[in-house]
Amino acid sequence: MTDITVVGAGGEYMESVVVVSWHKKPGDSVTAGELVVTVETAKAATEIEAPTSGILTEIRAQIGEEVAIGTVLGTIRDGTAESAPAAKANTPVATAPTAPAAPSALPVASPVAASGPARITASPLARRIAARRGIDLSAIAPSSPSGRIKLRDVDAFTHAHPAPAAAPVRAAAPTSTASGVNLTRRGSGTGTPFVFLHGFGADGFSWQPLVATLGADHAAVLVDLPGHGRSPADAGAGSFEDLAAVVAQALAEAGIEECHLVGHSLGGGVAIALAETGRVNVRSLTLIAPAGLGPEIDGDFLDGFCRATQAESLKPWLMRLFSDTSIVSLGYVQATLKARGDDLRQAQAVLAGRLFPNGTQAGEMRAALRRVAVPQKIIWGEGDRIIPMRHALGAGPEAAIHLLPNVGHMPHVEAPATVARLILQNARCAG
Amino acid sequence: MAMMRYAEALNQALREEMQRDPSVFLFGEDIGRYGGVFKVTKGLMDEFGESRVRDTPISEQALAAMAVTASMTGTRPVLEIMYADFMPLVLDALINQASIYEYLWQNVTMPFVLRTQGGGGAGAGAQHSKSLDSLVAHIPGIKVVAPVTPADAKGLLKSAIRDSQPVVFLEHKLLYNLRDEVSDDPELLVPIGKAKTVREGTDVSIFATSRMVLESQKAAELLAQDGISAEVIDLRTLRPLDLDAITASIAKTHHAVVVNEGWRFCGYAAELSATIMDFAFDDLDAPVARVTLPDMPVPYAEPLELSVLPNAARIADAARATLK
Amino acid sequence: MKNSPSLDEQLEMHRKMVVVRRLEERLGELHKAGKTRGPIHRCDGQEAVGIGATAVLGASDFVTSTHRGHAHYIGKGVDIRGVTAEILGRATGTCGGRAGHMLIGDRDKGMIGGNAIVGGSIPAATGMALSIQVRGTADVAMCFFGDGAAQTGICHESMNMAGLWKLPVVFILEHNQFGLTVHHTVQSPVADLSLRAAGYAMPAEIVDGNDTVAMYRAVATAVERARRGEGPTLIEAKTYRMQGFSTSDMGGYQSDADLADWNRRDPIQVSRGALADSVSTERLDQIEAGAVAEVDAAVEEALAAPLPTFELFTRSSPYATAPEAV
Ligand SMILES: Cc1ncc(C[n+]2csc(CCOP(=O)(O)OP(=O)(O)O)c2C)c(N)n1
Repeated sequence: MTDITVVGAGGEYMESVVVVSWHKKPGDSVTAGELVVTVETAKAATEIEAPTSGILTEIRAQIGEEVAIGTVLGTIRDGTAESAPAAKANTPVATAPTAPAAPSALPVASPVAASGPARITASPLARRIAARRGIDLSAIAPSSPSGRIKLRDVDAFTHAHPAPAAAPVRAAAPTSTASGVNLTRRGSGTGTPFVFLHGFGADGFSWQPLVATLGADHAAVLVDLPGHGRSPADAGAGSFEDLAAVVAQALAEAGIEECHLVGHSLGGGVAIALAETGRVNVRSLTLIAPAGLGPEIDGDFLDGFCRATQAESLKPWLMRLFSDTSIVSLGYVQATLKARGDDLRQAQAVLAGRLFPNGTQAGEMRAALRRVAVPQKIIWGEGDRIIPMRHALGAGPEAAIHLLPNVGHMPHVEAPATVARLILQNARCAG
Repeated sequence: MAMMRYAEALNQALREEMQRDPSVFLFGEDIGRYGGVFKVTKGLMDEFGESRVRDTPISEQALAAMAVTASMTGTRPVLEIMYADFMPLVLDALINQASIYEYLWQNVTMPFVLRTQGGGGAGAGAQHSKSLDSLVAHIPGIKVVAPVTPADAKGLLKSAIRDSQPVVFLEHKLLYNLRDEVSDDPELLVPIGKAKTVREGTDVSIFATSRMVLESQKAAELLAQDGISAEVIDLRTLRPLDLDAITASIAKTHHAVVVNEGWRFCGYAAELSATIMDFAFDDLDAPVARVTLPDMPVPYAEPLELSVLPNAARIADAARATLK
Repeated sequence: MKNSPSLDEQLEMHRKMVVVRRLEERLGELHKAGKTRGPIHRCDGQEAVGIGATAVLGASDFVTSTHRGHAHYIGKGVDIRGVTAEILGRATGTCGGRAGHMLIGDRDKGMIGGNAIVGGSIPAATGMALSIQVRGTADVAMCFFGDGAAQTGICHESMNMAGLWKLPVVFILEHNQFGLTVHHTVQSPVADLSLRAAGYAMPAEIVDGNDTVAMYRAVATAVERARRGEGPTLIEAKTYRMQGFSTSDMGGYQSDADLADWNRRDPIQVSRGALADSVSTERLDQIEAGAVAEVDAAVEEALAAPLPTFELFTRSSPYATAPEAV
């Protein structure tokens, strides 16, 4: 038995990673060196290869789960695929998502179901997990004196009734579109996807803490804007509208016709432009400290950030992004540096010169925003030192404004749970 | 770093802020010559004079309304209301005055702090033992903090004085003699709006305020003996709530106990429990348990008072019940 | 109109003052021995105010009191054994140990009641006077309050309405020079607070608060006025607090000279002096010994009495609370 772990996998500066996708399912045979699982740190995706050949017997870390460095993600047993069915029968695969099992195939002896009224009493958590695993609650016997089914009962049931693994979850690896723009899909949800547009100098991975709190049941698409992440260094863009056109093209190529759109800072301005074009059906628009709602922006930050080539010069600028600057550890700074090569840095400087000349926001999106008739939320940190919070007042009368205390320019990193809730609320408003 | 009592930490915070900012002044009953009935303002009249440290008549209703307007016009008053039980007298100033002007007029700020102390356990009877947290936390536009440790007392009082909004600062009479390390860095502030995990755990989250944090820590010890791992969170700020801290802890433990020394019906614990329902419902594996004072006056005689105050045993029982 | 006490009344006032003094002294000892709970506000030196004023009242009149109410309780006829047991937190106390010394109330005796929210006693008595006027009886309501309480907003509001509606209330301002630790000169720009009565169209009188007979006379006139429907009176009784604000007072703000001056005018000695011509020393000693013995017995009885036990309320009680169990 050999363990699959994340030791040293991009974990140099990180204490934990998030499982993005499994490329094998339990029972599959693997060869040493073959890609089995993709994990993601705050700054990069890392592909983990099989440490040995054999059969993947168990997946311990689910997609979307955050695990510490060194955690066992799964195990590989010696042997070949022929022996897999036996392995499957004996090994619980409780952690893999399962298709709804037919209720008739399950035992029905539960005190609540047998003696109680038709309504089943279960904790919200138990309900949620059971639904995710496709388990009918009426099959479960509560162990609590309250008569309420709890998570432990669902777990016990899952253990006792291993179901065959469902069709593999859609691969979540990054994909490049024909336009060259890089999109990363996350989550197993099939509903309207959430499309995320990051801020200046960041990339799709900057949404990781937020997407982790959003939960794996939602579909998320993380865009690397031109000049950022794994997208082409220079797309010749000079305005929010130019960037929006490239993103619209990429979404169309990826078959995304409708989405909930979330944009941060630069990405906020792009999001407004994108929503206005109508090229993708934007159901709800959540803007986090967006650009485009007023002329001021911290020019010193843009200059310093674009010039910085070493940790010492980058760190003070990164600190300006946050209210609680202890977030900016050395590891964080180094990871940011590592994720931004020199070509990207230069491309970003060019982009900054076009969008924010002389420390001023050249793009004006207030009128455009008022024309976008979908549920709108503006989220701003009260401690934002990059773009002034009062720009939020430039939104139209229909936008809900949420000001977060003790938060700086990075609400999605500083208060991910709150921001995730607000995004979901906004999406629900869209019906 | 220096060891000091909670009351001394507050005294140091007041002294440092008065040195730093000449617009800070103190007023209240018996706070000057006598140094306050809990000695929080000891020595400050000698150091800063009778203009900036004022003994007042017993006129709470007017004092609070005056703090509102004094703060609107260029000073940072810190008003001491001797017992939280007298807060009903100042509620008009908070509810009908302080809470509305920033919204109506926009270009005003009201940087005042109203310090008071509450809580039972000292045999002070039904008019000197209450925790009325929910009365003040109910008011929009007013921040409410309740530090437990001397270090937090100092750091939060400094933040409160520098804050541009009204802050009600809730102390507890049984905490004044608590001794602990306190930093002497005059710029070390504790941010308003951030909770603190005082004990990590995985089975149940106990959210507590003021002295109840100490009882919850004792409860966590009791639970540990049964093999139950309780996480204890000192909310520190009662409004605005640190939602991220609350939801993150429940996402881990799936069980919540909320503890507050005030009344139960429409109490602060009720608000906490509703908030958890709003933001963490799908993470709950059991209903939220509330531990509070029963809905009655705090009685005087020792056996009666001890029977009604929430304590470690009751908190531990509530935690065990949610885990059943 | 009778406004001087009879000899018997004078002797009874003397006896009650000794009862109160002995109670305060015993409480002081018990506090030092760690046998009391919470702060206790003694009224040593102020006994003549409460005892002299309440001596005028009948059983159906009402009294409201403060955090410093022992003389008011005893003056209005609340049983010393119940009061002592209540202060010691016993099940046999006037309020079963629920109230403690600041909040004793006894509806049957018309003492309703102690109040530890400073100023609270003033509108309380005014409301009772309103009820008396509405019901048309000849009773009166009397409130005690301190010079500190005189600075509260409700003091003004209450007196204004009492004057406006000619309510049968007697305001007894027990001016003991201090509000907690703050001297009256730091609380008010005027020395004689009775000045204010003019603003409410009511008569006022400054009285030596250490002289029971003077108190009795002034209050008798005020009570008669109230019973005749002529409205309120403000009595400003000048006195002094001999034992600090409470048992938790750390002192340091009262001058030794003042204490010595006022000690020479101890109300019990003043009363003895006033009685010297009519009553023998033996008789006075005997009365005082009886009073002391009564208090000592009450203390012993209270210390031996059971502590109260807590019971949750039934569902129909106004204090019914939802169960805590999940
Ligand atoms: C509304 C209110 N404010 C403050 C207090 C605290 N306190 C209790 S007694 C007291 C002084 C009262 O002075 P005074 O009325 O002169 O009565 P004394 O103690 O001198 O008898 C104070 C400030 C209180 N109990 N209630």
